[in-house]
Amino acid sequence: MSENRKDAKLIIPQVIMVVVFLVAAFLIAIYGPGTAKERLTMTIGYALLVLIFLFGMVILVEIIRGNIDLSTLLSEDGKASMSRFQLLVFTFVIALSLFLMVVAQNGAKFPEIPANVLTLLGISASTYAVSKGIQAGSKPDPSGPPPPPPPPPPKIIGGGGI
Amino acid sequence: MPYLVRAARLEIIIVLGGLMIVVASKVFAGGIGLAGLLTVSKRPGQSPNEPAEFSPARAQMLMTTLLAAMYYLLQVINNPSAASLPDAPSTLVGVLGGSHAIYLGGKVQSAWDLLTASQKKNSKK
Repeated sequence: MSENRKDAKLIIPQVIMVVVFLVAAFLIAIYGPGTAKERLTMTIGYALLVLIFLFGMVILVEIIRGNIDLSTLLSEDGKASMSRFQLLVFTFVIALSLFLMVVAQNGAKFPEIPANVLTLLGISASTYAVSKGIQAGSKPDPSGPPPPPPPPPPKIIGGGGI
Repeated sequence: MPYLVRAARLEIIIVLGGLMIVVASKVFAGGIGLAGLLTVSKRPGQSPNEPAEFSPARAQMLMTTLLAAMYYLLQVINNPSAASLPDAPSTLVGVLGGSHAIYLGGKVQSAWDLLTASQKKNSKK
């Protein structure tokens, strides 16, 4: 019962937030500057921005609260996996690099990605995939060898009456 | 439109930066386990009390990965306003490919050991 109340309490601010942003988008669409096409572009842009922000914040907050468990992000079979770790490092480095460049260029153009960088990411991701394959192939069959057939029941010769 | 661009930039900073900070802080605080990152998996016959073996293949890959990542990030920091991401030199790609091949070779070897050990165990039964 208390769980339901807690959920309802969490939902109310989210609904209020969405309604406020919908009203703001509506106001931009009606009273904003520029032609109708420009206002539509602005409205869609802000709506997408808000939607992505809300999704991102929900995920972040749930990670911080511990509802999205990241404790096994780098683990495989109970121990840390090097292939997962390197994939995480490379993903963060490329994402951070792209972000730094977009910010430095004032959002003028999305930077081009050279072929060698894609190769670098490809090596990293395929190492993870191959490592997963090796691991799956090396696991012994959990069922093991088939059990021996049960012995045939003893034949009862003659009547067994008491 | 400039307000939209500014808002998008702020949003990326908050969401992407927040995610990176949360994951990095969890790695450093122990919320994301790194135990066994540099050791080989135990063989079937090995006792659980025996310490896990150090793996040179994993150690070299960790060093190569961190060095390559730092080198690349420094290149971006030095010239952030270029039109494209800095190109990774072919040598770096080659070194990284070699390092990953060594790691995968070690993994194949330990998987083979594991498989043959379990097959021997089954045939004894």
